[in-house]
Amino acid sequence: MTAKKRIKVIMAKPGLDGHDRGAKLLARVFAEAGMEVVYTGLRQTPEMIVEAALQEDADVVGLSSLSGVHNYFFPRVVELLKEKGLHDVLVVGGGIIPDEDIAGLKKAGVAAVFGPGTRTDEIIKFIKDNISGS
Amino acid sequence: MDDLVAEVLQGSVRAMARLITLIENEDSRALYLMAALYPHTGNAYVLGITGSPGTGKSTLTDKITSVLRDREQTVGVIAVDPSSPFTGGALLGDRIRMQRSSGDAEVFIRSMATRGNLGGLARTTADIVKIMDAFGKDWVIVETVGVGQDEVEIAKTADTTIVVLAPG
Ligand code: B12
Ligand SMILES: Nc1nc2c(ncn2[C@@H]2O[C@H](COP(=O)(O)OP(=O)(O)OP(=O)(O)O)[C@@H](O)[C@H]2O)c(=O)[nH]1
Ligand SMILES: [Mg+2]
Repeated sequence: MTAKKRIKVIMAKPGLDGHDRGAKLLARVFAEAGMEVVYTGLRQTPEMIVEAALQEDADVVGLSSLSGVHNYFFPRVVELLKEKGLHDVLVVGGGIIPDEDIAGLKKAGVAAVFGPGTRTDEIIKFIKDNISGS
Repeated sequence: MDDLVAEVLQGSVRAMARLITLIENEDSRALYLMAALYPHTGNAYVLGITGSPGTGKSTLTDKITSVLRDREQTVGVIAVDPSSPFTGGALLGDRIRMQRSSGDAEVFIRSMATRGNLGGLARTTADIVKIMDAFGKDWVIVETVGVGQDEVEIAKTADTTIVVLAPG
């Protein structure tokens, strides 16, 4: 019998940002694309997000930020994932992220950053094409 | 893969998380690992939390967990939510109401989708309970899917089952 692997995603809102429409929309869209999505809710610390990724054995961590905290939180999440030995987790982000910040986030280990108006099927395709071990 | 059992017994959270995935996927290569874990089970007290959707199961789980943590007990939580019968995907939202516990590294919370199983649990939930038990959790709390009238599968797995009802 073959293993019934499903893509598991943690969708998280780091920091005090209350804009959760994008994160909730994507959580639902990813579920409709056949993924198992854990939505953590608002006000997550990097430690909480990484602990969730560890316990849930996540393939993907999605970070949504619309309040300008991405330059601290996104790299910190990547760093903590590595500390915990979670090297294979794909980290993707989105929200209000100025173009000039994207190169730095990618350098820090964020695989991709998607801004307002991105088609959700584009995000799903990126995840399916880039997760490891599938 | 054999190392995984040894690592779980030594207390590796990462190994437990990965073993749970293998069992959840009903990976045939991993089934024999359960046999190796079995002698180490039987120590955890298993609490089932069930009831209609939205009655406060996750909130209660979080509260009970924090009381147990105050008593220096270790806790594993399994939170089950339904898979979509159309897409096979699932939105697992119980963690939102478990904020207090999710900041505590001694509390291991695992969200699970039913993957088509009826009765309020996934087919492999009882095995995941055993894994957390073997790992050494003093308590394992299982939150079922929000159930209707006759989903009582949890009562077979749990030592005590709590049914949460909304007043009125
Ligand atoms: C709706 C909204 C609100 C609502 C939020 C409701 C809610 N529960 O979410 C309310 C009215 C509450 C609100 C409040 C505020 N807001 Co407001 N808000 C918006 C607005 C108009 C739309 C955001 C939205 O919901 N878009 C729809 C969703 C679906 O899109 P999205 O989140 O961008 O997601 C898409 C992509 O970004 C991407 N994506 C997003 N997250 C992720 C994650 C991953 C993993 C991936 C892969 C992709 C991805 O994919 C999605 C699909 O394409 C934006 C302006 C704008 N046009 O973006 C301002 C905006 C975000 N708000 C802003 C501000 C300043 C505020 C306030 C501080 C205002 C104030 N002074 O009180 C407060 C703060 C509230 C808080 N607690 O944080 C600013 C932020 C400025 C900045 N970051 O520099 C913006 C940009 C407006 C502006 N131009 O000034 N806001
Ligand atoms: N007034 C009141 N609200 C509560 C109580 N317990 C939970 N809630 C609220 O009820 C809503 C649902 O709570 P959850 O704990 O998510 O309920 P649940 O049974 O786990 O829900 P599902 O897993 O979706 O079936 C939340 O908004 C809680 O804050 C309570 O004792 N009193
Ligand atoms: Mg719940």
